[in-house]
Amino acid sequence: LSDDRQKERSIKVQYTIEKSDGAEKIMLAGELSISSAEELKGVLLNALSASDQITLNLEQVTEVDLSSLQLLCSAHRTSIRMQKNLTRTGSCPGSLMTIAERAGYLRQRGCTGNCFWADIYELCK
Amino acid sequence: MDNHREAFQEEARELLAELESSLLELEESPDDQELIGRVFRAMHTIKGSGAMFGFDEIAAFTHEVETVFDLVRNGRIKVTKDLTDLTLSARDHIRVMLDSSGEIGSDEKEKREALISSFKKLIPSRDIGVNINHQSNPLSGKDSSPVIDEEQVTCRIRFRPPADLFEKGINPVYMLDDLRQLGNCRIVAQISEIPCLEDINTESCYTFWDIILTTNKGIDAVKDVFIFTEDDSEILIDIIDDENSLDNKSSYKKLGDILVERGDLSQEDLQKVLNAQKRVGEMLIEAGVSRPDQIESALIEQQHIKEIRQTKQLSDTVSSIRVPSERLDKLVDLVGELVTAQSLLSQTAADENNPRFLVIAEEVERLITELRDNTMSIRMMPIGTTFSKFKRLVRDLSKELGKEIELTTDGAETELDKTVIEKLNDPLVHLIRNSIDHGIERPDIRKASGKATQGQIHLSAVHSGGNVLIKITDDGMGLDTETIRKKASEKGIIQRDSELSEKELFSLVFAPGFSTAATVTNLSGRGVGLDVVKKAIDALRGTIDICSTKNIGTTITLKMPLTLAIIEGLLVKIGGDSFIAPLSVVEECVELTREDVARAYGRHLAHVRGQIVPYIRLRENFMINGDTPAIEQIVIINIDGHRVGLVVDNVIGEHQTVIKSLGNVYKNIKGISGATILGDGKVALILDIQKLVQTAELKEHALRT
Repeated sequence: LSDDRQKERSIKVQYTIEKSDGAEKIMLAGELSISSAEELKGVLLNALSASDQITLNLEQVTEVDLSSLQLLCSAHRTSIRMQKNLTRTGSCPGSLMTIAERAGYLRQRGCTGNCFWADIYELCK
Repeated sequence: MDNHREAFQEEARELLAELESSLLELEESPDDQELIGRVFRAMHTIKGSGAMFGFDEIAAFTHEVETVFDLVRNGRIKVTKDLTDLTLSARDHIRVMLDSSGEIGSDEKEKREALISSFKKLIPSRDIGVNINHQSNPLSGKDSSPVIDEEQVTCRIRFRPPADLFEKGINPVYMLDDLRQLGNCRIVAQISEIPCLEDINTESCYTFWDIILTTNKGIDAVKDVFIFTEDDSEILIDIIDDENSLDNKSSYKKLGDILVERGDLSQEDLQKVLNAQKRVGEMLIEAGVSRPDQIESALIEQQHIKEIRQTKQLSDTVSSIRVPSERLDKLVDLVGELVTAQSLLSQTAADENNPRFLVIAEEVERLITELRDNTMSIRMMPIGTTFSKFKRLVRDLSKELGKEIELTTDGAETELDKTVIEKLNDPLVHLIRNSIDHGIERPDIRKASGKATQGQIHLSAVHSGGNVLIKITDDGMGLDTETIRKKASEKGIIQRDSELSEKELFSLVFAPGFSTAATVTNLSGRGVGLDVVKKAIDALRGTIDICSTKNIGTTITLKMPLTLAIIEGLLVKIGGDSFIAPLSVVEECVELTREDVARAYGRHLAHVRGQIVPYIRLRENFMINGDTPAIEQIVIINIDGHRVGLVVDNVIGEHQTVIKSLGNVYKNIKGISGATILGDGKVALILDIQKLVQTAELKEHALRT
């Protein structure tokens, strides 16, 4: 893993990225809110243009708001259109489950075959 | 209004009983949010409806307790033993206020002030003055749950907020939370308009919602949720289902089902065709006219309505009504009369020997038997209500005596006649007190004898034929046969050298004036105790049995009849008079000839298959004149394991006996416990077997000494 590049920033979105041949692992932490949404959008866009295989780890996320939910949904949808693979790994934090439930984002079937929210629905059942 | 007050009192008593059991459970699991909620709701309802029906003192007092429990509910105060103790006393105080309808003595008032100040001390200082949202006026009764809700409606809401919603500082998630508060709610976010990552404006709201809400708070309450955004949002509220439509909208059978019913189509063929068919949703998606999320939202609406209707139907069918117990008693009386009339009818039909008449009589008999069983089952109540009271008893008493005792119960759902349950309460209290006081040892003694420090008392109830067996088992020190023997001979209950079996020795503890406890405590040990229990159980036509092993424990078994109103009896005749013996104690009937009597040399003993059975001549006992027939009958009964005969002229047969109590004038007649009316309108007396045997024994005893 010689070309591993680690990047750690702690301005608004706390995230760490691990890259290795076309795959990218993004670990998000802390609060995902409307004030950090623009930055998160940049991170996701970069990842989608650079890698085919992106995994999102949200284990350390403490709070999520509706704008970030929209953003995650949009990123997932974009990945499908670009024929790339964006998936969620690690355990699903309670904050994400709660907001997804409260905002009515949980569903059995989504707009795509493998909806980002469908597996959280399974977790919440 | 008085009616309402009574209804409230009754409801409040039920709530208090529930409160007690919740509190006791809470003591064991203090972090259980559901239990805390239950306690809070019970207090809240008592307060609210108390205020509504003019029980202002109750409302004001309950308010104080509720305030504390609201803080508990919000995690500001921890549940401690002190809190449950205090709340239990508060419960008792509410009960006192409830029973006295507002007028209470000054000592109770002092107690109340003390309770209120203890509750106030529990409130952390930073919370003083913080009112819970709906408590500002505890006496208004406005927030009480019995306030009539509006009709239940189900509505479909499409909520499309403006794109700049976030910029205005409004979080739609809170609005959705508010909707959930209104009732059963399903929320589906429509996310199809969320654009691609390149085009997304992170500060815009792209999501809109489809909401299905079933509420009884009224449409206005729903509209109020959207009050801040109604000008620039798209809000559509349609009522899609209300209570009135539940009945008339139920759709008729499906086409396939009708064809199958008519025999035009087999179930298998139908299933085959149906399986090949695609669901409408799938077809619509394939045709590209609907998006999957639209279909999902519609399916959720369909499912929601289905569930609401099902729960509505369920609550309709299981709903119960409250009936005053006097009306039930009246019903039982009438059914009793009907049973009597029916036996006359059957008798007459048999005499007439008219086949058509017989068929009718049999049909009536069948119906009345069913009616009787049904009526009896209405009066049945689970014994669990009594059991839960004992939890409190054990808790308080063991604390007082410094013992550690756990009460476990089993078979709380076992049903018994309401009257039996009511009358069983005192005897059971007595027996459990005995177990706590005499049975279970102090923790240090238990430890020394290798037992767990915590003693166990187990209460169980189980059906056994026409009886219910109630067992009280403790793992205490057990009965000591030597102590009993010593005590009994000291008190002159038995002769010093008389040989008694273990069972007979145990049964001595039920003798009047017997107590083995060396010291008299305020609980038991005064010698008035178990004989009172025995009397009460006898009066209920039950039996009591003790089984005990030293240092292992004691089991007391009560065998109680299911009902007191109607028993199976054996109808017998002496001269022109009829008597009934409870069939449950009858073992067999044998003949008694004049030769048999002569052979016994005047002693009242009969040989029954090699065994000697003493008998009582009822004719002599009741002083009935006239000649005895040449062949008399002995009805052999089994009482506490002994066989005793009752000599009568004739045995008529089984009889459904509706028990009527004798009036006050006849109450003290020994040997008769009640009466019943026979088919021909005559009265038959019901024999009190216990008393008869006892009196005969005493007489015998007096003769010998």
